[in-house]
Amino acid sequence: MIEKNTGEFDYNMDDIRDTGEFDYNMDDIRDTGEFDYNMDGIRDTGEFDYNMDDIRNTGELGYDMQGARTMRSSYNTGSLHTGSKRPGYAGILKYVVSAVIIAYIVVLMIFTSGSTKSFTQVEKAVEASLDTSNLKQVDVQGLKRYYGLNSADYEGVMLYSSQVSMSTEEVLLIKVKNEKQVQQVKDAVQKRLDNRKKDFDGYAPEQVKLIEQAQLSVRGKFIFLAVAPKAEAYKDAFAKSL
Amino acid sequence: MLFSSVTFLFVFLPITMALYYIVPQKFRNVVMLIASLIFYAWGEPIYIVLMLLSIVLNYICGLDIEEKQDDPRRKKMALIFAVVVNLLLLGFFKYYGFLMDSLNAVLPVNIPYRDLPLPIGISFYTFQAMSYIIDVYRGEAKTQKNILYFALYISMFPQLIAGPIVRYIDIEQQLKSRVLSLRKFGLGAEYFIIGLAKKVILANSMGQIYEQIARQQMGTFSVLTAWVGCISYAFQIYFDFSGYSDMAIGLGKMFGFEFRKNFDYPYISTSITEFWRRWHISLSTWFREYVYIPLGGNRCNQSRHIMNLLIVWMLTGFWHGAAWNFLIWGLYYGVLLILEKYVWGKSLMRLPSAVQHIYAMVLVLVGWVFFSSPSLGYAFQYLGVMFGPGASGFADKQALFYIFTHWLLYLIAIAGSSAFGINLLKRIMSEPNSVKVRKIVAGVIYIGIFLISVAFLVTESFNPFLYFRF
Repeated sequence: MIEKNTGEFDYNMDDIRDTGEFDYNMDDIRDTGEFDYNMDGIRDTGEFDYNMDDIRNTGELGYDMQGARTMRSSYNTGSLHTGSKRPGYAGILKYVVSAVIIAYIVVLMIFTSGSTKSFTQVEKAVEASLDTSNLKQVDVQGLKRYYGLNSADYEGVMLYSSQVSMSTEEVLLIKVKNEKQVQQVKDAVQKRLDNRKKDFDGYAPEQVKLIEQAQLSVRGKFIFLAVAPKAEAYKDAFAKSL
Repeated sequence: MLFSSVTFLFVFLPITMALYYIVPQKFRNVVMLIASLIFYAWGEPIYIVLMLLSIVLNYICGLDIEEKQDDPRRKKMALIFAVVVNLLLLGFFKYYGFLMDSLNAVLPVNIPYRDLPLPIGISFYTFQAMSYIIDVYRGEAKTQKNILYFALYISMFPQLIAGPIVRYIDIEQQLKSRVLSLRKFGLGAEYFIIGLAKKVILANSMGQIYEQIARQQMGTFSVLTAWVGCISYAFQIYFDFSGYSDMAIGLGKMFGFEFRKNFDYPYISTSITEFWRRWHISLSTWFREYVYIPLGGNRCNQSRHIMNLLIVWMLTGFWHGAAWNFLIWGLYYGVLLILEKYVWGKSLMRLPSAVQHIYAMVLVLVGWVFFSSPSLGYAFQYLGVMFGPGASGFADKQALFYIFTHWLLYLIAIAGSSAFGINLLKRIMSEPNSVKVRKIVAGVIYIGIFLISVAFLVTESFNPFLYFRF
């Protein structure tokens, strides 16, 4: 019985429908779509099968030609992933680490975040803690003179400085208007501390020590600096007031 | 720590390099990793924990995807989890304040919120982490089993703070084996020195000019001054960022790594399309690979294609900063690119090339006004001055002052914006006939540039880094 031509090419003219793909060895079995070099009707593994053992070459030269993996390397598994069947630890671990990250963020929020309070609220709280026997409030010109900053650029400025020239005591509180100013103020504060240290180096070692133990705290938009014997107490008052 | 700082140049870098070259090869990655962590912790003693946690999380997610590789559905869920967590982290630290501010502006109530400072480099390392996750998912890269190698990829100090955004597949092989050679080291040093000079000499100087001009009240300066300011900013941001990228590439080379270039003389472009093939190449590549193409790219109908472009460009703009002017900047370029693709691209190419250059430059300059302004209102005001309505006259003494006192700076800047500058240097260095003299000339030139840069660095108090707040 002669079968109908299927409308597709019938190269070997045997009246059987070609499989639509090349049928090089003309056995009417569909070639696997990949080269079948050794013409055994078995699909080559898609990689060169030099030793023609129908075992997939491992992708690296498999010199022993026994189809066994010659090198213990990750390439030999034939897949890009080195996956052997591992137990599913990663699936659980990722949730654990995510939880740790969330905990870390919570801690950050508590201890380093900014504040919802206004400048005046924080200022009052800090001022209340200050020992004003040495520290006196300095007007806004002081900020320009000592730090090179324009107080008009910021939302709030409070500066206390020692009236005695041999003392480096100073307390500064600034609330900036935006994030970009934070680095600017931090740099100015650092410069001030460096300058003061240079001024007193060799003359008054206790003052230099005060500078080295200065308390600097950046909380959101608030920047706080205290150079004083009670600097830590002032910083705590600041932190509490946020 | 910044590359353009005395601590880095004379303490951190020499020590790290010495250790790196002394230790046996198998310890080099560890040395580099420890150095990178110190580098980051120097500026971010608190947020280093965040970066480490991000590294651990992404490492585990990579393994997770590999475990699920035989189950397409679970594999995809794993991918989504990883990408979402990364985006949430980035979104929280970077955009939370912006979101609250915008909400507060719209809502009748004012929701107080406590803000957190932005971790340095988070935009870069989060994008690199996502590049790894997606490449592993797609099967283009193997899962990195060694957590130290993975940590090195994420935190490597040449590219940690300011890019380029290195795709994992570009570096996968190099983590395992890379070549160190004197020649590579020398090339790297050349790149680094040029980058440093760009940043410290050119960018900072241009930045000073821009700051002085932009600080003034609107309406007190002329059109020409406004343009001088805008052009100065354009030079500043180019030399700043490309200088940093050059330093990163140079440092990479000195440690045996090859990064792709991030800038290709963008200011010689003749169209906006070309500009974005030359500016911040690693970022546009990232968005193309991981957002544009998954959305469908240009293999869809026209309206979908336009939508894809708009989304990608809004995100590109927004990546640069949590502010409306960045979104508008991105959208601006998105619209221009769409217009070039669908409306006037072909006609543009028929114009004389001088016109094309001017077209591109003017549009880019206008774009920079949006990018550099503290607010949208300011941007429009500044543009008003640039184009007439807001100015006090066309030209004033101030504009001429800046041009005449800084003519050499502008000349060098123009030469440095195209290959002309570097080719001139190379010509000079290859003039002599004998190899020995050539080496001496090259040495003198590069060391000279380096010393001048250090001089600028030490004496100038003005050393901002614009791309630092990402």
